[in-house]
Amino acid sequence: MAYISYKDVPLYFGQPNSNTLPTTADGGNLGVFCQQVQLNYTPNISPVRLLGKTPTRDNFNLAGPPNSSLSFSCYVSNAEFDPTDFTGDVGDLGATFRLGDDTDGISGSGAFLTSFSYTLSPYAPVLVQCDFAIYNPLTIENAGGKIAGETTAGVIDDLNFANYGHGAYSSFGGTPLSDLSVFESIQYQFNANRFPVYEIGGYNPGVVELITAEQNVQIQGDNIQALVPLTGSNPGNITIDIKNSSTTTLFSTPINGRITAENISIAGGDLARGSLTITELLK
Amino acid sequence: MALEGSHEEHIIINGTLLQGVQNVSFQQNVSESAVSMLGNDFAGKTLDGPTQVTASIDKFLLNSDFVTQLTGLTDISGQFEYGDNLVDFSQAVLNSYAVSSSVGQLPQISFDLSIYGSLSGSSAPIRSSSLNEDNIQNVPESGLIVTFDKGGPNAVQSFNFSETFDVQPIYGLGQETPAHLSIIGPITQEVQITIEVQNYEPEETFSFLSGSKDRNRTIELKISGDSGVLNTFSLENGCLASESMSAGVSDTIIAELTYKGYKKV
Repeated sequence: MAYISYKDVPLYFGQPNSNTLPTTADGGNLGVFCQQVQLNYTPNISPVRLLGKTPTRDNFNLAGPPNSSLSFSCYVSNAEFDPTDFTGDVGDLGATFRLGDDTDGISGSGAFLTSFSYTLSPYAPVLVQCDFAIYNPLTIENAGGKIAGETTAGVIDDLNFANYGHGAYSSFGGTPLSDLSVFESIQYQFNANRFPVYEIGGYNPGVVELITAEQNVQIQGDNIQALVPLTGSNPGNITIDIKNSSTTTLFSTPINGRITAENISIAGGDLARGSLTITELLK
Repeated sequence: MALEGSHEEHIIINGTLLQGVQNVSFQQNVSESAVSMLGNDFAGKTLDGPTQVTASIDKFLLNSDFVTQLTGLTDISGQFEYGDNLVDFSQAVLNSYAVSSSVGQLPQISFDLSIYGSLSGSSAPIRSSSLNEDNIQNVPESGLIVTFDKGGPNAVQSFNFSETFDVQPIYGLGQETPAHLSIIGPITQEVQITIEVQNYEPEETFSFLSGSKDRNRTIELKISGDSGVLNTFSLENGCLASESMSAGVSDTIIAELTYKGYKKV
């Protein structure tokens, strides 16, 4: 079998908290404008050795749910995949996705977002890094999906210049930071710790609990806020709006936390720069 | 209307009409690249950096130059007029300038500017309201005086002087133009001198290890016209960066010396 080009292997999601797999039809999926993807799949089996028996290749037992994860980086655009649809307590079903052909490709369900991050820089498109944990087995049969080229053309739309999030149009607002006026770059990170509860007699978790969630933002600019007390400081509510060239807000990440780190870097032949980190506990 | 010739072309910088201009060029490089993604090998284009706009001006250095007075400014603006057409530019910074003079040729100066503001067509000419740069004068070869440590009988054949500025633009989120423009020191200076060898000798190789080596040489070019000294260019805190000597059949011995200097912003 020959190698398959990336252009034939689209990644597309179904709606959040749904068991319905996405289709290739426009409107039947949340297309991911994906730059790179990584799928890791490790069935959770352990060797079993019995007294008086020589182990064979089949002496492995199912020891737990498989460890599966899906990580990718993508652009964000109108009416397609939006990472903020998958944050927070999103129910117990998770999301479905397909990678490649909708028949022979890889399909999954029970995907829950565990982290997403992005860097916002002037004049640079916004690339979002997403990490999903997959709590449902990718397959329970003898054979599953594989890398298979999608035969339906146009599953992923062209990326319209006017539609996707870009640092040239995005904004950083809310309570002004009194000592920072130039925002050179912003790094945002969301992390969630989820706990799938598997039940006897089933492969899929019956309940997925959101245990903890937090977000933090690191802002680099022309200064830091005045050094904060030992207990940190709340600078107020800050909103990062990821916008496209039509100034449509694609998603917002408001953050109202405490300043947990302040750093200054000054090098010979360069300007003095400051960065501060704000962390908000969401759960 | 078609252009009839270069006599219809004028460049005005910060309200001053330049004299003796030989070449003007503008260049705009757009930072766009193709976007490829899983499932689509050409999904569109993305803007991945600010558009780089530069301007270059070459002119005879036969008057008291105006443009070198703009070093350090970060808000230079101007207009280029060619026939009935006008191009405005704003928020420009001088990246570098270079002076060149050699035997039998008129001294020239060239400027490179980066434009961080807009480069756009215009319908409002400003030439009539601008000041004129000082008039061009007669600059004889005897009006070019080079002072350096290896002068004497070694006749200077050519002299090039340049200053380069480290301009650092900082863009803020959602802003088209830099939120901050800095010129980071030191300013780098370089002088290249070509001499006819009479009693010149290269500097001893291991002398550069010595702490007492002269690393604060001052090299100067004075350009004088009918009314006296028009321009003076000085390399400060200079040290010898390279030297070469070449001799060939049916030719004189030529030495080329390069000095580098640095000065504070």
